[in-house]
Amino acid sequence: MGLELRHVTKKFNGKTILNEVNMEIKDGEFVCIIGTSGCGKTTLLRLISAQEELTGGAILLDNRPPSCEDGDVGFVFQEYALFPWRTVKHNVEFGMEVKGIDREERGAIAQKYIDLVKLSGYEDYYPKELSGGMKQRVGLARALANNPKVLLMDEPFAALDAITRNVMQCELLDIWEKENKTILFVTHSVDEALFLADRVITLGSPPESILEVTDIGIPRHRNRTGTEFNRIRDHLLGMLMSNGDADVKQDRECMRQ
Amino acid sequence: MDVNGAEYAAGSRSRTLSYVLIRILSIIFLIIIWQTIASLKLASLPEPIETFGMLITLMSEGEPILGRTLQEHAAASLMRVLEGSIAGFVLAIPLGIVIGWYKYVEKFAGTIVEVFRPIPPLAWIPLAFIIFRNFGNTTTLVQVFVVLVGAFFPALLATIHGVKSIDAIYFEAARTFGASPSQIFAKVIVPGALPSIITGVRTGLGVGWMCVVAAEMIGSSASGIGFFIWVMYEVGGGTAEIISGMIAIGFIGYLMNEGILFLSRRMMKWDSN
Amino acid sequence: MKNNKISFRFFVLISVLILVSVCCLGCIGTEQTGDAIYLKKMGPADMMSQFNSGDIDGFIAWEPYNAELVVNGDGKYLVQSGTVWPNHPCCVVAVMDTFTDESAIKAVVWAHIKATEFINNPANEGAVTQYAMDFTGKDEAVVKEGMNNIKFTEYPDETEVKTYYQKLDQNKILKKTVGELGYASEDAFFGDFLMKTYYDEVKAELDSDSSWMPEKVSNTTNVRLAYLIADLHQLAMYAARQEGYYEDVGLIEGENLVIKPPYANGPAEMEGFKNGDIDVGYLGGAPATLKRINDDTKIRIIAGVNNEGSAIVVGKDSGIDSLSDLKGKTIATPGFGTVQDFIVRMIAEQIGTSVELAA
Repeated sequence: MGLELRHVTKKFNGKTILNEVNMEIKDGEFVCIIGTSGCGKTTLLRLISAQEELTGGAILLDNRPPSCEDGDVGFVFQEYALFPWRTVKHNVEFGMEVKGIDREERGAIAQKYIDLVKLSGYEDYYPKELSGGMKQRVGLARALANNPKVLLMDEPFAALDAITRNVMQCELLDIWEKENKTILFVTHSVDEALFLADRVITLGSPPESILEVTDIGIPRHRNRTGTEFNRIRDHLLGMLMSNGDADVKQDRECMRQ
Repeated sequence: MDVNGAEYAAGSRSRTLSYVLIRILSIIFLIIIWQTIASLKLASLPEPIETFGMLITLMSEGEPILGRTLQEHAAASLMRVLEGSIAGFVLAIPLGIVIGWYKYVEKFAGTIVEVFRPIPPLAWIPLAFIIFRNFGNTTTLVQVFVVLVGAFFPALLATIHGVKSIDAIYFEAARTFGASPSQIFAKVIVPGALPSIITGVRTGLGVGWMCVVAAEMIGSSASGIGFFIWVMYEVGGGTAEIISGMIAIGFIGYLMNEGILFLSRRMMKWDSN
Repeated sequence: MKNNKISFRFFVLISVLILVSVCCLGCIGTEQTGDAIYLKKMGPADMMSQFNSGDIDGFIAWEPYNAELVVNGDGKYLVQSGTVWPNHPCCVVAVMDTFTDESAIKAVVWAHIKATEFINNPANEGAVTQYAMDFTGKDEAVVKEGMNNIKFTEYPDETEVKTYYQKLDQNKILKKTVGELGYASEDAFFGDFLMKTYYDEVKAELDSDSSWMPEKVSNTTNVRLAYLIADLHQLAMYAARQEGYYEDVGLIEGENLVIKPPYANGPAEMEGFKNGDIDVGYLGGAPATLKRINDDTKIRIIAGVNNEGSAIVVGKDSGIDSLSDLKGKTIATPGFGTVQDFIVRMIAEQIGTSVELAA
């Protein structure tokens, strides 16, 4: 059971984006995917949520291909992708509306998730009236309210300022613990991955597939400057650099000087 | 938020007041210019006071040649505009959604639309007379048709633009929730394109209003503000009547525009700034 | 929720609007049930097409439009305008008051009289028919039928011009009084407006000597002459050009005689007078009189072109066989305050009904 990727390969116009990716994610696990730019992290999430078609291989969720129609996956976007013409409450209800759940029931469920992401009182606000952090809470509540088996998060906090980002990470962990969802979280930030994940999967640039799967054994809540935390970070950053992540390389060189 | 809101409201109240003052000033300014031109006989215009007197007479007693009040003429014109533009919108909005949504339809229809669009609605009058010759009530049909043409293109273009400018991410988001094409249509395309559609409706009504007045002048008729103005011109000596008619046209156009703005602001709080 | 409610309300509003407009259209459609004569104003070209489409039951227009429909279409003459209003004025020759060259005015009047005599001379029938066909672009049968119904004259019947003026006054179509135009009385106004002196003078000379010719117009005097498009009434102007009467009196086309492109209707030509584009013009007596007063366009009538010459035309098989059959019918007229308009009103009075605007 859980989410299983077998020899997943994706090509765009003959260019390989993902090459023979294999991974297995257990129910309730929190997995972060990091990787150099252009290594296909986002493509991987889009494949799982069936927004893209596989070139080769298979994706199985509880032994069958995941389908959006059944509400198997919930997607949290970096750009929030909240419907601007819907209030917070109606955004959260969207998935349930699509499924045809009746008004009262979906109202109650929406309220529960709005409360969970601490947006009580903002039910009738429109997205443009909210801050970035609040918007992403709505995005999270919207994905969760649909009760997906797996939550796919595509750099959800990338656009937030550093403090909001830390707060959101903590709250995400709280929610994860409460809801017990499988989370696949793509990020560009090694620190974020280390703070959140049970396991960190480092994707390489094609033709390489997975560079390494790292178990993060540090108990939560993690100290972002702890010795072990730093050791793993150094290790992961080194690996990304050798795989040619120009940004990371520059960052490292900067630090040496 | 609430505290700020109160402050903002207080600020905006005084601002609103000064805006109202500026509006009144602009009207007074216009009347002074008009009065100057009339008094100096720079052009053979009746004086403002005479014209307003005429306007009131036309509204209360009507005008002897046609025996109708200005409101009756306005209502006749307005009815043509509503019929024509609603018909135009009924065609333009669905078509615009289809063109905006399907690339191939856009390529197919794009050239046709771009060739037809620059044809002034009034240029359709002679052809419309020929086409509708055997339909009965030709004049009214032609006038309504001209309004239809006038209202159609702004609404069509705005709808196409509205659909095309919906960020692809909303479609993706909807699809991740398993929304079917019809649900995407109802829950993403329609609300997403709505502000633009409303703008198109507003422009379309405005163009339709201009068209009907002109169509009433050119096409033979029996009522309507354009017809009224034209008869006054043909009979001669009715400059005050003509200007009264023009004031009515302007005022009704203004009211229609404001009405839709008001409605759209209320309907689409999410889109207002 | 709120959003839904508002869109619902909007929906209701739109539906109500549509309903109201449909109802109103229905009302307008059912308004015309009385036995009044319903008037609809339109140009002659529209009359033709609306007659054919059945939007109107008939129309009152001038030649050659009437003849065209009677000869080539489904129309029949119900009544000639002269039967209803004998000797009513129709087209006239007018001159702008700023144009004061007497020799030129006399020359134009002379050419007009000669042309009218030419038209009225039965010996010229062949040539006249040809001129009429060339001028109007209609075929022989049509122009022959049309010519039968026109009385080509040299000066309008002054009594009937005054009758027309009184009708304008009674129907509240006059926006100004002759007093406001600076005349002490109506007689003073007509004394000035109907400037018959030139006509009388030329006519007297011609009566004593039919080969008399006024002195030639100086080649430095420019005359800008206007007329209406394809109006059979104004055939005299065309005949004068073809027969060389203008040249006889020193008015050379392209030199000191400028023929303006044809005007679409009388009001447009009156506008030309007012703007100073025209010195002498052939046009309907109705717009000439109406705009002389209402717009104070200072023209004078120096000659008449024709009397009568309009008619009510209805469908051959329309079942409209007498004037009283016009009750409840829709008739097109060329304009309010026109001679044709008054003829319909006179008929209405005669058959004991009223005139109303068509919906």
